[in-house]
Amino acid sequence: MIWSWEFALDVLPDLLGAFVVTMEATVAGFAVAAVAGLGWALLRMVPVRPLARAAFLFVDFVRSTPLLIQIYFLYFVLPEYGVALAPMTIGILAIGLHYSAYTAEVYRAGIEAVPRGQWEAARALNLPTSAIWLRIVLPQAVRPTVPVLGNYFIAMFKDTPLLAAITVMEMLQTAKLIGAESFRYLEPLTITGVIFLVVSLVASYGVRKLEVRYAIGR
Amino acid sequence: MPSAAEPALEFIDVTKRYGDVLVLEQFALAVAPGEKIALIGPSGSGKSTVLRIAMTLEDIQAGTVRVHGGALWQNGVQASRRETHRLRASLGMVFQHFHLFPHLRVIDNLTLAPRLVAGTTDEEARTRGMELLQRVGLADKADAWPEQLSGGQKQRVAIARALAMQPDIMLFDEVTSALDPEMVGEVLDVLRELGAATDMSMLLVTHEMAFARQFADRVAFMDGGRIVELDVPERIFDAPAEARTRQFLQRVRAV
Repeated sequence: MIWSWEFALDVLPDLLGAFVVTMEATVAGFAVAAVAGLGWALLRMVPVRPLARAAFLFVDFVRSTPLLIQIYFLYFVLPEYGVALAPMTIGILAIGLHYSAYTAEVYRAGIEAVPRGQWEAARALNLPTSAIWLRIVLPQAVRPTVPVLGNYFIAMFKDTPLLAAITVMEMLQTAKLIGAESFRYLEPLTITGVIFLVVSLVASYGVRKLEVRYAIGR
Repeated sequence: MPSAAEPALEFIDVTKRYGDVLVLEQFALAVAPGEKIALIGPSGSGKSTVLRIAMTLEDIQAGTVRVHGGALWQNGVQASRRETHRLRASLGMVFQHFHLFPHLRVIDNLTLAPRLVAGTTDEEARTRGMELLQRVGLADKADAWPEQLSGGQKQRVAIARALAMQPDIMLFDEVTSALDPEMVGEVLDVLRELGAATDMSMLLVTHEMAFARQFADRVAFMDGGRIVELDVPERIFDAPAEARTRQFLQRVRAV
């Protein structure tokens, strides 16, 4: 098969449209991961044993099973319990919750890196526990996590093709459909790969910038 | 020395253990209102622990601690969260390593607690904060970040931060020990000014013997988790009654 520029240009608009879907899934999934991960990290530190235990179990479970199985599980099993969600919504939840197990670890490390003296100084100023968390510990804990979260953003972006399995019209699914209709896979798959490559490289560069910016000063 | 009926801060038979290590053994001390007591002694004698217990940064196994008569610890049991919060409002503490909040500008380090805890308005907190910075000679650093300050400046900010909550009992935990020698003086000057201009009670742990002598109303020599000798500075430094005090002072002076 010989590369056809004509066909490539022909399918490009469809693939770029699918790229928008991919980005939506990535950004929304990342938002879920960023918020839920902080939730797990905090839950694991609460003195209420059952809650902390549940958060530990969730994180261990998610990290020990493949993302694809989790995606299938939500897609096929939830409707049996009367929860009917759009494939895109399920995809966002699956990727977001999966990665929240990893961001939870990032947040935990960030929280533990805040020196004990900060807690003590805050208590000596009679700040209530809620204010110590919100005003003193979390602002310092989250800052160094920003570049690490950026790397997870890239990883999530590269995992979005798994959503093709549940009919989300992201780039891989679109490329497959184009191929099935035209019997030409070379151009759509190549273009999809190149878009992933370019975006990942640009994002990696952005993360390196974040690392520099968030490492120096406060 | 004012000998009001009720001490500002009182430790009664306080026992503190870390695992099997006995840090304080039936420790007893009463700080009168307005009184300045210096705690001296070898490292590991439990001096800092005394301050940390008063600030409820450490728990205890037995004994009672009272702040203006209110029990912060009663027979080894800590007061309710609410009561702890109420009593702790009388106390301010300055640490060896400053512990400024690095993500807040100097002025915000000072105004955070008054705004959140004491319900002071932003404007009032800022005005008071600026007054305090003026007092420690750092008004021009209000908008600086803590990391831009020298050690001595950081500690002066930390003192101002503690004062912003208007405590009447101050705890100073080796506040010059982490400083380069040339910066010790500026911090001690702030303490002197504070001692002369206010009637706050102060309990300070220090290795600066000359300063303790000059500054304190009474000096307590601690060793092995208890007070060996407690007296006016002249007696402690010139004519200590206990052999252990004499040995310690000889070692310190030999340095």
